[in-house]
Parts: sequence; C-alpha cells; structure tokens
Amino acid sequence: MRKVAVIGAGMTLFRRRMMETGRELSFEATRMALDSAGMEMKEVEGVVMGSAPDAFDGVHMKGEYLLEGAGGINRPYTRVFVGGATGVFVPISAWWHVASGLFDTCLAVAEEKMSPFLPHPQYAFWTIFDHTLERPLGVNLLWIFSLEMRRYMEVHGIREEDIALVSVKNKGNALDHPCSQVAARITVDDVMKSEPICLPVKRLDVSPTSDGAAAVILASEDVAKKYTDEPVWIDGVGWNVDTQYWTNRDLYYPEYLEKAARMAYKMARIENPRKQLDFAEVYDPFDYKELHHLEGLLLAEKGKAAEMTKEGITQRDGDFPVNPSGGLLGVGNPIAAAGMMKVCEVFWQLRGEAGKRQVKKEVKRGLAQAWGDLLQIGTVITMRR
Amino acid sequence: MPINERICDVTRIRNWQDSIPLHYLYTTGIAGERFFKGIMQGKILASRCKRCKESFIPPRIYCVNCYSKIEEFVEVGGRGRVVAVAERRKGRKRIRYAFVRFEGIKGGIIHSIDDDVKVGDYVKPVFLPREKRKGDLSDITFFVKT
Ligand SMILES: [Zn+2]
Repeated sequence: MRKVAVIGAGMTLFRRRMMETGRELSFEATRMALDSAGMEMKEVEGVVMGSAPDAFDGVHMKGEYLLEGAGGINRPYTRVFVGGATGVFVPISAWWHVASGLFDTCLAVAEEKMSPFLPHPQYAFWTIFDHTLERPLGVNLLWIFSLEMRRYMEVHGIREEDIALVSVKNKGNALDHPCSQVAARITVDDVMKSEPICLPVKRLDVSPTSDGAAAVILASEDVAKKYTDEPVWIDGVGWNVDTQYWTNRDLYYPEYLEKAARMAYKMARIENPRKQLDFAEVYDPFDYKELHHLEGLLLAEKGKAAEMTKEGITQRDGDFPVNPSGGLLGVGNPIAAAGMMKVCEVFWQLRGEAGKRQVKKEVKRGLAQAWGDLLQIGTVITMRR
Repeated sequence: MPINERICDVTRIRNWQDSIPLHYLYTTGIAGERFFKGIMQGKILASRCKRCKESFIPPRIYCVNCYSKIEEFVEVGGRGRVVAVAERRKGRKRIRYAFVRFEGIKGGIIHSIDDDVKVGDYVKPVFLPREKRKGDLSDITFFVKT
C-alpha cells in the first residue's frame, strides 16, 4: 500500500442553526481545505462524502443532494455512512482510495445539518430503531446512553462528579476554537446541577445538536510533496462493527473499539499506544464517552480513565492531551462533521497550526476516533508528522 | 416465508403499525435567500462566476465549473425558452409544466405554463401582484409566451 498524506483541512462554524444549506456548508469547508492545501478542485481525482442519517437534513438521498457542494460533479464520488462514526470513516475511505493506487488525490468531506428536524433533531433517531422491540417504548438515544453510562459507573465505581470533569475540560478547551458552539468556563457543580435529561445524563454531560461541515484533502506521497513540505501522514486506520443488538454487549467496555484500535495500531506499528502517541481526539458526544473510549483505545487501563482525567493528564498542557480542540462537548456535534473536525484538529496540531489550542508539548503522533451506529462501531485513524 | 397476497386478513400474522412523524424547517441558504428576495422583486437571479464568466440557475455560492466562491448575482436578462413540456389532468383541468432555460445561463427551472405554450416557445414569467408575493416559487403564477 502507498503512503497517504493529509495536505489540507477546513471547517465551518458549528452552530445550532446555520443559514447555509448542507451543500453550502460542504462547499465552505471544502473550499477552505483546498485553499489551505494550495489546490484547485480540478486537481482532485475522487471525492468521498460522509453524512449521518438522512432524517436530519430531511433530504432522503443526501449523498446525491450534497454532491455538488462537495465538488463531486463528474468525478468518482461515494457517500459512506456508519452513523456517528462516519466522520472518521470518511477519511479512512478516502485513504484507501489513495493507498490502493486508484487515485493520487482524494477529497474527504463530512456534513451535517441537524437543525431542520422539528421539534428537535433528537427525534430523528426514532427512524433508526428496531420497529418491534425498541420504538414502541418511545426510546431515544439518550435513554440508551444513560444505560451505558450507568453500567460503566457501576462496574468501576466511578462517580458522576468524576465524569463531569471531562465536560469542564472540553468546554474550556473550546474557548480557544474559533468555530465553537458551546464553549464555556464551567465547574463540576454546574454540570451536576444542570437540567436532568435522562439520568444519570444531564444537560451539561451532552454535546449539542449542530449544523456544520469539515473536510480534508489526501494525497499520495509524490503528489503531497509537490504541495507541501509538511505533509501529515495517515499511518494507521481501523474500524470494527458489532451487531445492532446492543444488548449482546456488556456496556461497560467497547470491545469493537478495541478491535478497531488494534487494527490501526498494527498498521502503524504501535505497540504501546499511550507511549507512542502524543495526544488524541477522542469521540465525546457525552462526557463519559471520552473515558469509555480512552479505555477502548487502550490509552487508559479499564476503569482508570477518570483518574487520568482527575490528575490533569488529559489537559491541553498535560502529559497526554485529550480533545485539545474542545471536542463535541465544546465545539459542537454536527454528527459526521464532528468526527471530521477531530481529524482536522490532529492535522493542525501536528503541523503546529492550532493557534491558541496548540498543545504544550511537542507532538509527533496523534489519533482521532469516532463512534456510532447503535453503540456498535469504532473508527480510528492515527496520524504522524 | 412469503406473506402471500391471498392472505387478506393480515392480522393472522403478528404485525406492528407505527408512524414516524417528520417535520422540517428548511433554510433556503445563502444563494437561496438572494434568489427568493429577487423573486419578490419580480426578478429571476442567477449567480455569476467571475473566473469562468458563466452564470447559473438556480444560483449557487460556488461555481459549478471551477468551484470558486461566487458572490455576484445577476438578473436573468435573456428570454426563457421551453425545452420540454409535461401535462397532467386534475379533473377537467389541464396542468402543464415546462423545463425552461435562459439564454446564456447554465441550468434552468421547472414551472407551470400557460395553455398555449409549446416546446421551443420563448417565454417570460408572470408574477403575482407585489403585495401578494411571499418569497417562494408560487410568486410566479406561470410562464407565458413572449
Ligand atoms: Zn467558475
């Protein structure tokens, strides 16, 4: 397989509701990525688009609908979809387009416009549940994540206050992100006293719903070197999907994510991820998910991620910064675009272009991860200078 | 096991009735806002790429050819021409639609047409009286022959 580099990245503001259409959001992110790479669309050979359930945008052929805005006209164009994990799956898919030798350049775009769905985008998830076993109960995703959070807390004896620290950290980090939607300086107490949504999940444990888009440009080694002296290499990719019967799993630990991570680590020749990686952008739609995912990614021992957080290790100036961008909890969560935002952040951090968000220590290797479908898939990408 | 069409009583098979309510509040977007503001003023606007010198309908904020950002919106000056016509009946009423393209503009729009309009005819839009316009496609009643 050929070496593949990221040579440009771009994103839009993340907001509860944007005036731009999904196509326009896709264009803005892509145009920024092209400009940052010093590239024109005619030099792009293939396009991979990612967007989560069609129910959000309310156009039930979203890949085709977004195509034009994402620069897909008259090109080999594909839409990929793995629920919430889509954002990291898009660059993975673009990676194999280039690694295989099929294309020398490939654009990866992720978009989500959640705001059209009324009365609230959360209800769009009704369309994803099993019609016989789950939907008659009136469940939404928050219910299920509540069950998972409780199980995780129960097994390891973790308190809600320990988990709240993640929200405090990420919302604080997002204060330095120019695109952020819900950045704030808050305390653990604020999280604890925030509106109960579906206990133990409270308002400030959850990321918001958002509109936004993000994009990266990938190129083969020879081509990358024509555009930049500072390519960022994708050296590992992994993904793994378990059954949709989430009741098959003990919710305390995401095994599918460990499998995805091991796939990526093997490719990147990473034996000790905690030592060999310098920082991570871990999927954090809920604060407990950052901890859950750190463990699944083998970046923390089982049940120890909360302690790691408490000790300040995951702070931006800590020994192993986690979500220096501000994550979904701070920057926002336009589903597919949120995962892609993490890939952009790893790119910017590795190039030293993260501005006020730049982590304190020198970084050579980073990881981005997303999670999705019905608590059933992990997508992982590792990148290096 | 196939559920045979001849089983008329479907309750013999356990089944579920459910509906998924879908309600949306769409934005027309940056280009769409311009387009519909134009419609309210009785104009059809296209977006124009400075680089390619080409104009597009419906207007976009990006060039369909070169992917440059577009900020220029121009009124469609040339005549519209009917490329194709479709017809349906609603009771005794004929409802006719046409695909209309404009001179020098890439793209086109679909709208209703007057009874006597044929393929190849040059047409122009008839707008509702100004005070009745809402800023959507129904502000154009139909296209008539010029
Ligand atoms: Zn152009």
